Amino acid sequence: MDMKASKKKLGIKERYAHMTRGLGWEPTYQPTEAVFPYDKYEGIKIHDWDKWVDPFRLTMDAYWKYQGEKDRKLYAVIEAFAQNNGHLNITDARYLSAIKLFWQGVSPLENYVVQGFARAGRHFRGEASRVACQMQAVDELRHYQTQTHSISNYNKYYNGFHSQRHMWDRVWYLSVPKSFGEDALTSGPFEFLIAISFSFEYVLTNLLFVPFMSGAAYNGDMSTVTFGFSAQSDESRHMTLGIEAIKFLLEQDPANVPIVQGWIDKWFWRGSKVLALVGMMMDYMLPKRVMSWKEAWEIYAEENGGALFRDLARYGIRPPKGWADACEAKNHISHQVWLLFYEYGGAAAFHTWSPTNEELDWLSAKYPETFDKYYRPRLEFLRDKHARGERVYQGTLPTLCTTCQIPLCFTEPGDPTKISHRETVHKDEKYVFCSDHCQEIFGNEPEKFVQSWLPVNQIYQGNCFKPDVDPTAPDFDPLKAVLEYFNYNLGRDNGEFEGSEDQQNFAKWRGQAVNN
Amino acid sequence: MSVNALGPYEFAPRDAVKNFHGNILVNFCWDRHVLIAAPFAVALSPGMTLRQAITNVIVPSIAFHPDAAKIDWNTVTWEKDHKAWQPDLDKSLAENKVGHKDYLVFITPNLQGLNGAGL
Amino acid sequence: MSKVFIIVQANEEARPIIEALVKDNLHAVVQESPAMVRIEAEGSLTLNRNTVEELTGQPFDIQQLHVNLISISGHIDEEDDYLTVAWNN
Repeated sequence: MDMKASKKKLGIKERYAHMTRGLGWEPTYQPTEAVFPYDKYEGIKIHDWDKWVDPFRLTMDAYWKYQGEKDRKLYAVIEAFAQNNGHLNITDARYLSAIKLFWQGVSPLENYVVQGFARAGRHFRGEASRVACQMQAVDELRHYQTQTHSISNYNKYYNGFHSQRHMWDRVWYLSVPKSFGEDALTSGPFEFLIAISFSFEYVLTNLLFVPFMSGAAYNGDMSTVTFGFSAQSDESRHMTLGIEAIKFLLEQDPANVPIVQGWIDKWFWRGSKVLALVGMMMDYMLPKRVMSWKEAWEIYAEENGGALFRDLARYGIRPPKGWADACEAKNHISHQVWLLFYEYGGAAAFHTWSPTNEELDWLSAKYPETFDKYYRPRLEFLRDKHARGERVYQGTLPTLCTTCQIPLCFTEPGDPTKISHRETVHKDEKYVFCSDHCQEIFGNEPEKFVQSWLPVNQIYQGNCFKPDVDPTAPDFDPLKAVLEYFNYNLGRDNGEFEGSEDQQNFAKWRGQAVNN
Repeated sequence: MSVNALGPYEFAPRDAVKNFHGNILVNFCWDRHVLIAAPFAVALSPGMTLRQAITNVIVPSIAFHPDAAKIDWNTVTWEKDHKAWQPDLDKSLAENKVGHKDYLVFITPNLQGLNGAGL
Repeated sequence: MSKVFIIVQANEEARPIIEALVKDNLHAVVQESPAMVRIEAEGSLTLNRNTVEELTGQPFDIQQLHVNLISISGHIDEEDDYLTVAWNN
């Protein structure tokens, strides 16, 4: 019999229903519980998976179409950038350090998120949620790939880009995003969803991609701004899913509310610590700055996050526990982290430097309550020492927080000259933390965090040397041996920017671009 | 509270003292001198005196601070476990009951840091 | 009341989207930054397909927004003819 084709195209809602509902099946030769073993033990109760709706109602066919279009646009820019020596259009070679840190510390995190969503997509029972997780896994893979393709162009000319995968598993400061990602990956699928889709994507990634990428545009880096905004267009979809996921969990069962609240508390704090690195990138590593870290925090965390938590109050959700402390820290963390990296600049695979007078004045204006009193004198002191030929390089290793793994460079809330520290004794073993919240995260899951691979402690245990190294040799230099284990090209990847190979090459090549 | 897991979830602490080849890990923080960006974690023999630890490790690590040369270590006051602590500098770490991963704060009330502002 | 926003790339494809948002949301405020444009408003913002089509003289699918979207905040209600972002508080 002939079927009469309907003249009207399906509407967006009908299309979504057809492409996400009724795709599953009841298993016959295995019990359902054996097929989906991981979606109950976290205590989350789901009564009706069909209540999960992607507000954008994106279906696979539309997804491929628009993603293809995004990639075509992006790769045209990457090609043009490479062909026309786009790297010489950046404002200043100091800018490269921001991209190095992004490449070393953020891009691998994208790859972790691919794994996490692939797993969540496998283990949720609802078809629509599985489709959404699958798209997000593919998105994050695209981000990792496009970042690799964009940034590989810098690797042809500059130092510090060469050993990302090797460094990720070894370098001290990269253990901060790595341990964050591994904590999320080893959580149950629902906690992973709240950690990444909600706390990280919704509440915090605007801070990473929006002002920082606009900053990349401002500094002439067409390649980074293009991959950044191309990724962020996916992120805006992820954020939408993040808010949808949380509404879905909260509406399914009242017993879910306290569990979700605990995850929000944990992951907001963990995310805000990882983003301290971004604060430093925005305030110190962009030669031309769009806005300060503090301003970005106010717009994207306080204003936007505030609106979100006012909205979620009707479910009985309150702002995360660390909210007030994280907001207070907006005046401090970018400076504290930059000073840390400056002093440990010999051990970082990017360059650090002293800000110019104009840059110091900009920071004074942006941080009127704190910069002149607490940070400018330190930066000027270090700059003067460098000018006298005594560049400070700290060689003694710092104390790390057992939870966030950041050296204890942060101060007590409301007391900016007192380093904050906390200790917990668990089963006769002492653990050190940077803050109440990191201590509490440990206290909730001590069995997980007793396994923390803290780089400083690993170095002292002798686990961070190349296999052929002899630590008993009379001329053994442990710090040098560790940096070689990290695969640094010593004297080229690390240390002061002034006089670096990157600085000299950029000046020479730019000179060739404007003169015969 | 403890980890929510499907099966048994118990692991040995990665930083147990037996992994440090006879040393203990000790943290040192100079109070109100944040020009030193972070406290130090150092591996020390428990038989070493506190004065040796200071002389060999701490003094060189803080030497770039303008207050460092002015420290009179005999009048420094100390905190351990967030409480006042009175060590004997010439006794060993073990005799002073300094344990693995202890966090020691040394306080120099007469030295106010850079600009007298605690930096 | 809380603010919602839509941020798009500062390019030719996004221009009619920005213009349509400004036209249909009289309370919207436009902020330009390097390479991006942020449209924010108290309460809600709506993008109408018809308005974009009138501006360009071409068919427009609401989901084309994805290609040049940078960020968005609020609950989303998307239909064939419009997309609205709003807070429920």
